[in-house]
Amino acid sequence: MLQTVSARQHLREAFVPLAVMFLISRLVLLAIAATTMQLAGVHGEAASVAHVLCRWDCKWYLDIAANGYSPLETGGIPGESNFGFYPLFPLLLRLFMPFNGGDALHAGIFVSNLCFFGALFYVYLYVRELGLDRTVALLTAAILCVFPQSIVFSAPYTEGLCLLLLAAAMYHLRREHYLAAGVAAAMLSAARPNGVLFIVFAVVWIWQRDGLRALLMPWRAPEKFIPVVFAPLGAFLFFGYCLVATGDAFAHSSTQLIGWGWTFAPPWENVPQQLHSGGNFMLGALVSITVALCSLLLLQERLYAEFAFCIVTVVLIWCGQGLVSVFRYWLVLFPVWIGVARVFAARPLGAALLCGTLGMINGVLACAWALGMAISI
Amino acid sequence: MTAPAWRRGVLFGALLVLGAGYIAAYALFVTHSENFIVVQRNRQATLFSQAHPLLPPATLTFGSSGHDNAYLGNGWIMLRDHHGMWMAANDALVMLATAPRNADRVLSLQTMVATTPQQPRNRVEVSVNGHVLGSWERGGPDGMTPIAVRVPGALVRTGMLRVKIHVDRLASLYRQDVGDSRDGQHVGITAISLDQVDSAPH
Repeated sequence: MLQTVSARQHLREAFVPLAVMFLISRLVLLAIAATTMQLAGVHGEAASVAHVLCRWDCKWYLDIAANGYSPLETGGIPGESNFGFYPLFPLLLRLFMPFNGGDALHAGIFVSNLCFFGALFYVYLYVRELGLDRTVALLTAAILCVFPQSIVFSAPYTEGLCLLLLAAAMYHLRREHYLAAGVAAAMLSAARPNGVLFIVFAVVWIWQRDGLRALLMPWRAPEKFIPVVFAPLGAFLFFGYCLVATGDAFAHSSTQLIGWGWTFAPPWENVPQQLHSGGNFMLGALVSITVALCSLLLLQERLYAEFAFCIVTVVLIWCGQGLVSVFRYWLVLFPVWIGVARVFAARPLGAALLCGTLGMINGVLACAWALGMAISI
Repeated sequence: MTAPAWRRGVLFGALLVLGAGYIAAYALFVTHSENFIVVQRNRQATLFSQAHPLLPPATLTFGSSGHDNAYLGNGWIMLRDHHGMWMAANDALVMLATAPRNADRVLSLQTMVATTPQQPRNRVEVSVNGHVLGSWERGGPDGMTPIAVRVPGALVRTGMLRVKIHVDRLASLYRQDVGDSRDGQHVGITAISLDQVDSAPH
């Protein structure tokens, strides 16, 4: 019986394949990025692996880690300030900076890779917790390793951390480790604004598992609601800090609105607009629709809580003004990839083709990332 | 095993307190927060304006070739390859310090109201220190026609004119560079003049 097999046993059986996947995927992506820089004629420090990994938002996280938050509009574009980024990842960088000679960039690379490595194990455990077999679990991990733009899991970006915290929160909730799930969820909302959507997963999970009565009478088993109530804690602490620092608790939204132009619009306006925009925006919209369709696979597995979380995340992103990132948003939505892995696990050729195709796109995007092309934002 | 009733009660109470804490904190955040970028931009413009008061007749020019962008508060953006400054929000502010006299002044705005065939007109409203001084329908053939308002002496006497320009419709300028503006409704400004009433052009 799967339930009788301990997490430790699962980890032991998965350690080697997950470590190999992690190492090979990282090495290949870094080699592609470094080679791209060489071919582009970039030499010296700018072509070093560490610098190649620092693109786009990386500089914001490093700035917060090194200098703290500042209300100054330092982004080069009016309205952009480092309050546009949540604090947990830069805080971790700060924690690890003394071990990297005070260098935020190397600390960021170390933290991201560590988080991604840990996340692969949590994802593996999660798939096994769902009662799915080892092949599905390994294929899910493989998809995450080769998914386009997975280079950000090794860059100073929040994706690795968010994947780790999301998988940990979901896993511990399913294992009924409510406090651990709550702590992970609270940290998730301190890492990224949409981390608070974990509440959707937790509520639907309670409903699916214990029925509507459990939701309506929370005093009967209050421990199940620890993750729900803890989830917004990280975000609220950040809001409080923002209020003290700037007089604006919603400093994140303020700078995102003025600096990055993030406003809400209904998805039925946004998505067609994106599709008609052409270029990366159209591609981003098409990929998002594909992800939404893939999330339907979770319904087939009766993974309603996972589906609710994924679809709410997709809709939230559709409400934003612009699917600027073509692939990056979807890396963290690992339940979708469980659904996909479930379909392909019984078809080795299909699984190989899927991973091969995703890997090739990933390679191209690693080149784009190294060259700073907009498609890799 | 089920936890004892008293433990469940304590836990439920603690969660309720935390939940209530969120609601109280949110109420505090909403009531005590002001967009910090708006506040700091307006503060900077006010300080600059106070250090450089206008003596009518005076004309301020804006944009990449203008010299007086520092008078502009929140709500403006400079676009590459475009003259003037463009509204990035439905409300945009200009801070004008002037000699505190009890005499009316005429404020002229050289506006550019770009509209679309679907929405050929846009309403522009001008207020000073919170008093609405007029609104105009602009667009198409009269999109470049200046807007002039008479500022009462009671407002001039304060020595600080906080000019707010409001437009009903405004396309997002975000992603302007990739040509992905929503509906082409844009409003810009190239210059502002502050004149004495008798010297103001009709």
